[in-house]
Amino acid sequence: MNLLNLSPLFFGAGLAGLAVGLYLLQQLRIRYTRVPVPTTLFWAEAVRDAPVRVFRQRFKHWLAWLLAVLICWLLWLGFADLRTDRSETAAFYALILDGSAQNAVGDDFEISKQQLLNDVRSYPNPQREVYYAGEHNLKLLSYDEETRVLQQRLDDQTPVSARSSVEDQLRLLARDAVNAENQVTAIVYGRTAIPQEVIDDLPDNMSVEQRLPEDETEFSNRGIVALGVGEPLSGAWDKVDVLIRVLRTNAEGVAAEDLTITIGDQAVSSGELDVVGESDFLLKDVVADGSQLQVSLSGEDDLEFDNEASLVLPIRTQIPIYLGNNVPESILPAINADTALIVVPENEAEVAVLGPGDSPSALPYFRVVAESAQEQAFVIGYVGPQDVNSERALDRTIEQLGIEHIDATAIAQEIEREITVRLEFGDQRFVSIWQPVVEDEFNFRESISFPLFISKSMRYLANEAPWYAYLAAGRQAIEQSAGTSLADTDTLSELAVGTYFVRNATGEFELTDELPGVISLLDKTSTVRSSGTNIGSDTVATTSPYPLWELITWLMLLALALVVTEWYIYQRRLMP
Amino acid sequence: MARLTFDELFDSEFLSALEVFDLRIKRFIRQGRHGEQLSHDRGFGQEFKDFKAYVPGDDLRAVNWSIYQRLGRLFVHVFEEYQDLPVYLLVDLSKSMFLEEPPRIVAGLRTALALGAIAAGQHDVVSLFSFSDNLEMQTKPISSKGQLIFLARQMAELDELDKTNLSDVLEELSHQKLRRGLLVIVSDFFDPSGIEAIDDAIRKVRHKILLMQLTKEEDADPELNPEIVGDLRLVDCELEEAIDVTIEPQVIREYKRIYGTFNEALIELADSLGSGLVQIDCEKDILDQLSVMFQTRNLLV
Repeated sequence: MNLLNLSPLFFGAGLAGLAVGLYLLQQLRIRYTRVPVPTTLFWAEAVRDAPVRVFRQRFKHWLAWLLAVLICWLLWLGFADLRTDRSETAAFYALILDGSAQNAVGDDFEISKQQLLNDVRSYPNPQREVYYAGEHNLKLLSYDEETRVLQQRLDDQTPVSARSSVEDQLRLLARDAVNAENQVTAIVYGRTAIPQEVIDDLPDNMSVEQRLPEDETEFSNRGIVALGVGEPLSGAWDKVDVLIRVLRTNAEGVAAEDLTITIGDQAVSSGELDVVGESDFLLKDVVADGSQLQVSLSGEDDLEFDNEASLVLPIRTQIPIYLGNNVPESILPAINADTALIVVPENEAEVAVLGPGDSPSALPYFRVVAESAQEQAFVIGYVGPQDVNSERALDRTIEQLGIEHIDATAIAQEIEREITVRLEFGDQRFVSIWQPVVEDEFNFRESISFPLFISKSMRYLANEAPWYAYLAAGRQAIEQSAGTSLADTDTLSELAVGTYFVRNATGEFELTDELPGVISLLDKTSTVRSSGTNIGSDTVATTSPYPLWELITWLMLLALALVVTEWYIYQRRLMP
Repeated sequence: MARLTFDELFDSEFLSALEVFDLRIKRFIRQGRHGEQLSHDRGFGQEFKDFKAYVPGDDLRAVNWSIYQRLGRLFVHVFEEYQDLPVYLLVDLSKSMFLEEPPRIVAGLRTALALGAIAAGQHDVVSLFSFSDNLEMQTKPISSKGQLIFLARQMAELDELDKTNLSDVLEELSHQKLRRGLLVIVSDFFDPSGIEAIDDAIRKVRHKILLMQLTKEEDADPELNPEIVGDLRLVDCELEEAIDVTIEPQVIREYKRIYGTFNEALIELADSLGSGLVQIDCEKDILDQLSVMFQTRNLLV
């Protein structure tokens, strides 16, 4: 048991102070009520042996004092806010409301919200904060705010079609808890499955409890957990294969007829779907023309958010290139082998491939130069903002070109020169390399990195639009092309070169001005509700958050009973 | 307290009830009167008492001619002669009579008027006196029912006076040369000088005495008064003296005991005088209470 509003010392001092104060008050002379009477003859005689109280008189009304002290003590105890063990004064409580799709089934969210509202009152203000884990993590109630403002703030929150950010919030709390001296307890209200690794990584002074919504009904759901594109098995450059994966829990299996697929405005017949295994469907050779592909799963189930998924197909067209007269023979096989490239006259080309002695081109160019023509083995022309971080741009471009795959050390040993890369900022893209690097006598040309380097260089120079195999809420997105960087960092957060973290909520957004993007839920845990990863659900969910409330209620009832008793005794004139 | 108006004292309802009350009471009073007295003179009343020898000057109408025929001597009838009974209504006008709500003076004056009505109905002479610390006589007496309204108007003119000093008033009254009659004292008898002083003074009065004590239930049981709770400064309305009292059970018990002693002393006084003591509850109907008294012969006028 703990007192939340008062320290034990202050509480004890208050009890003693009340008792002493009332004791002294009883001895103080009271203010008399003036009552005119026909005669005081009889009263004068009656009080002759019972003198009235004076300023300080002998204490004699034990019953009145005792009742008053008991009532005051009970009220003082109520004010002190007597609580159970889990309200230790030194602990800090982070109450997290799960607003993700995992907690959007039926009334789960409303139940969780009410559970949180009920519980939050049992924690002292300075020791609790409330967070909402929806698309983003929001702090709904700070430690210095009154609990009563929470209701209105919660009213504005609804579950969203998003991957849970509870995990992220727990990581943030864990980071702060490392430096904290007190115990931190995170209480998650909702069904979010918390990964075991998150639990394992918690510092010693932090623990997590979870309060599951009390729902008697069995969860029944089918949902799309994967929707992505990949290189077609047919090898066609301008087409992709689309994979659809549907999982179920306590529901009937999914047939191809249950899936409605549209590409742009065109519906795709279910007959075109190849069923792969129990839960996968493959749509082959879909034209990669940038259309939006949408998949809908028919039938009613408990979670709506995973019944639809979309993606934007990549735009894959051949890159017209111009070959200069002096292009080394050593790179021609790699160009010819790349079905994405087509050799055209210079006036129709988007990229020029030049050799030593070829006249410069106004097009973005790939040029092989003499070793003496430039200091570095690789010089890359980069088009970008002037204030861009050059080192970051260099890393990014090296990654885009596949240069990191080159065994630069081996080449350097063979030509006895250091292999370096320089990024040159300008208004034109180009890739310029030493001729010896691509000559037959070095092993680079024979390596598997060489065609990749040629291929990626061509795409870099053609500024091919980026595309992604899939965009799932809250999951990493890996750029699938050697195109430019994604400028819209409001919607995608860059974590590493070429890797982005997709926002938590589903919906459409713009990757670039021309390229739209669609994020789908594609969250397996939301669809099948893996109960194995819920923690502490049994113990916490059955723990009543109100033993404290009950105690206070009884205290107040007892105080009321004492007041009634006092009134009765007073009416019986057994005490003044 | 402002003087009460005539209508406040004697509303039409009370006056109508007083008419009925008078008729109802007459059948009881024929059986005897509290102040009944025979004249020492024998005259020519209605009831024969004796014969006496005729002397010159006797009324020849009283000669018994039968005796004269038989004995040859003149005898005359001697009749008993009743005299009218002076009734003196002595009403307390001290401040305590005007304090509460309803004030005791209303019940006091109604009691006095009711008794006056009965007396006047028997052609007794009714005189009205008032007192607090002095005796005051109110104009001329009445002797018939027709003058009852005159008596009521006299009563309505009465003002609140000062503190009670009944012993001095009785002393003063004893020196007044009044015909012997019935003295009706209407008061709460809250005299600061106490019952003993009244006892001494009242024995000097030559009249028959009837004590009409005006009471309230809370006199005997102060807990009935909702104001008598807690720590009080009780102010005597007549003496302007204050006394601080903490209302507690033992104080209430002691008060009741003392008030009981006071009442017992008053009853003993009435008994020792051979007079009557009538306790009138000021918050109940006066005429009803008096009727019961007459019917049970506890009260004779």
